[in-house]
Amino acid sequence: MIIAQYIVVGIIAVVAIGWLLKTYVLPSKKGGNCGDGDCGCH
Amino acid sequence: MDFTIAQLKRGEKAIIKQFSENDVPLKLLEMGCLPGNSVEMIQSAPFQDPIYLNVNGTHLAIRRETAEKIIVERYG
Amino acid sequence: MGKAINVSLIGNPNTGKTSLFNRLTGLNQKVGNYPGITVEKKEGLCKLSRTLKAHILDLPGTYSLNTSSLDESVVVETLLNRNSKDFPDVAVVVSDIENLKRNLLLFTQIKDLEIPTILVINMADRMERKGISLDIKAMESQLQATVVLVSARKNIGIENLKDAIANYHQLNTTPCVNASSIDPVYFEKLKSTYPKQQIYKLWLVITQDVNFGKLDRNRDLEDLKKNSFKIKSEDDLKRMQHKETVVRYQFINNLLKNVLTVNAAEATDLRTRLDRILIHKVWGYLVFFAILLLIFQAIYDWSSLPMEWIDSAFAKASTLVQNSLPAGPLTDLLSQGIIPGLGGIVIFIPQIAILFLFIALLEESGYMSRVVFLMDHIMKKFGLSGKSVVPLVSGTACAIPAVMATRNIEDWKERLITILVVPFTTCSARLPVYLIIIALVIPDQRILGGLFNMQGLTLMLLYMLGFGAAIFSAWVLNKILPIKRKAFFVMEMPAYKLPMFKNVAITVIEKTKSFVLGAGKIIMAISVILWILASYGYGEQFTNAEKIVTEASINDNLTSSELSQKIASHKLEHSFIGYVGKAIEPAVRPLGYDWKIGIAIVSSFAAREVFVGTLATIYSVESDDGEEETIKNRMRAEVNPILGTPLFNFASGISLLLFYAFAMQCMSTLAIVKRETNSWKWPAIQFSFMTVIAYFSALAAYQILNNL
Repeated sequence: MIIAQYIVVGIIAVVAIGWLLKTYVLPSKKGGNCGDGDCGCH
Repeated sequence: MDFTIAQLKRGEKAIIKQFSENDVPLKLLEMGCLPGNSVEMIQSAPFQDPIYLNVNGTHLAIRRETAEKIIVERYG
Repeated sequence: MGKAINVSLIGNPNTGKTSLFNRLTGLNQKVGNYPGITVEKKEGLCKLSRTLKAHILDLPGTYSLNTSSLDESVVVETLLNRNSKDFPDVAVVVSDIENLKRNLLLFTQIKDLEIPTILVINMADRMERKGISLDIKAMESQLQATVVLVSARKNIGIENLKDAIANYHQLNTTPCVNASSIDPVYFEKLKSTYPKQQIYKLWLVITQDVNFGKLDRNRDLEDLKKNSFKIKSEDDLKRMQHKETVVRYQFINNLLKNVLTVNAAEATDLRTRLDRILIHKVWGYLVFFAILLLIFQAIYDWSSLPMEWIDSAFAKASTLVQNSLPAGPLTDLLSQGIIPGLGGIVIFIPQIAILFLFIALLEESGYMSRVVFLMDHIMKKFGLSGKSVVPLVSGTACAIPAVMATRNIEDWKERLITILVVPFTTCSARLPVYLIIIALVIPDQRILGGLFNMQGLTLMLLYMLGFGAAIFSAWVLNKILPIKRKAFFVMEMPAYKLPMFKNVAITVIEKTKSFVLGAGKIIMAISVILWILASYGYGEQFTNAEKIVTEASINDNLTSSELSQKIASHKLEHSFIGYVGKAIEPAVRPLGYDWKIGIAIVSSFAAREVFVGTLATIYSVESDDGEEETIKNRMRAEVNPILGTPLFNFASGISLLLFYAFAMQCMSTLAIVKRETNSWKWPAIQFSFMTVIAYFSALAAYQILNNL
């Protein structure tokens, strides 16, 4: 049970770091836009 | 000395004659501020700038320095 | 369900275009961006009949097709590009009855593109009151177009409009003004070279370069650029555009002379009476100041109750998760990382909604233009434009739309300065930090006969400080930036309108939603990472924390809960984040902060509102005993490690407030400034001067207040 929790936490962490990197470090894709809709406003 | 919009007093009406400079912004014309159209001075802001006008039925505000470039002829 | 046709809504600003859009689509709409640019794209669906739907696009307001800004170029782009998926089957030009002359300029241009066009005359319900009568039949025959009278406000004529759209096949596409008359020889040559192309479209493509060089052209028209039609110099083209405008106005004035009669005597003069007060040299400023005061009091007073509910609800949820799920890292992550982090954003929904509500009301009513008018002369002295007031006021919501709102400032220097100083205004992301610090260090008392709350006044002072910093740095920038000013300014003064509930509600919901979703994602991600960094560590001190602390405090007679609290603190200090925090502590200690605040400041360089969430996460990890507590109480209990006094006292609180007032802690704003100024130079300059001011003013405040 604990192992499963560790795995889920690990996945969440990877997703979180990946998303932050995608949003802020590599925004140059898609014509320099930060995606459709809002841009992580504020 | 030409008479310009900047010299109009509150409530005075005039007809736009011409511009004293060639390089008038297109936007001003689009708003209806062009020769032949009527202009009425409605009010100026505190410190006499900007100026609130009714040009050809459109209510606009322009700065005094722009108004000084628009030559008009008073009537009424 | 049958097919959907494309309908574009086009019109001057202030014609009620958005109201009409809301009438046609209801809540069946979405707001996005045009690909690659930050212009807002509003689209929605409307059911025309049982078999026909319309996909409606609300294009940005524009006075003509002669573009001078990014927003306007979107309109031209949509109308010229036949291959675009947004290319309209029907163009609906929205005009308002009182400004028909000016509105028709845009209409004649669009009609000349030979797109099926309907002229909508909005605010028809005002006709009688304004003493206006209009011969629609004569107008239709002279314009060779379908004219529909509507009132979006009173929901009149909408069905007629839907019918007209549904019968779009029958619309007349004959041009009504002959643009070639401005230079017949030139146009004849153009026509013989491109016999297949529509002539007015060619002309627009050629002239777009005069004002705006970045428009992407269709491939088949690309060679126009290199072609001999550019032999005309820019001055010549400009003169021809002037001439075109004059020709169009001649047509319009002639047309309306016959069909429109205005009985001026009957006009009720709300405009005159309101203007007499609202732009008066004394009353005008007083009213503006009173409105600002009201807004800030409201943000504070109206929202305190719902905020308390939200705060305690999240504290309860944390405890519930901790106690009901099986123990383990995921449970801890949820209860200590994600839920408190999320609470840190949800709690500000009431305030942000109130702020957006007021901004929407000011814009809808037409009052915002009066503020611009009142302030222009003063702002000019500081190198800004009266139009900078709108970004500065809407900057209180978010700097990003505010930076975009500078697009209608004509002068580049005034616009650049506005962009550079706008992030000083107190955006809603600063509110979370301000509110929690104010609650901790400013007494909750009423002063001046119970009229004002001291905490509310402090908030107002902070807003004024933000404006002050913006104005002052504008003045400095105006002195040092070597750019020439043209100081051109023209603005429409719209009629006063009672704001429509539906428009305001949609704006508030849309904006609040995008704030919460946008900021929420960052906060979630950062709180997950922070939690992990705070919960794990390495080395003897972390892994054997329990043993080390127990042995060290063996003679202190601690209760078991005090002991476990101490162990958790020790662990946190030696976690990954503890090491990072200790490393930056020397830099923040002179400002009165400990290493935990240091971490919160560093993480809020991504976005300011992360501050509260970060502290919430750090403190939850620390108090590992599942006790239910609100963020505020935890902060109040913090002790300065050196002085032994409460960590959040008056001196360190003011220091933090000043730091957040001045620092440029928003990556999204930097990104948008880069895009709007087209270079990294300006965001870099902005970031540096703001951070330097923030650090040194916080330093000065703490050192002075602490040594009093």
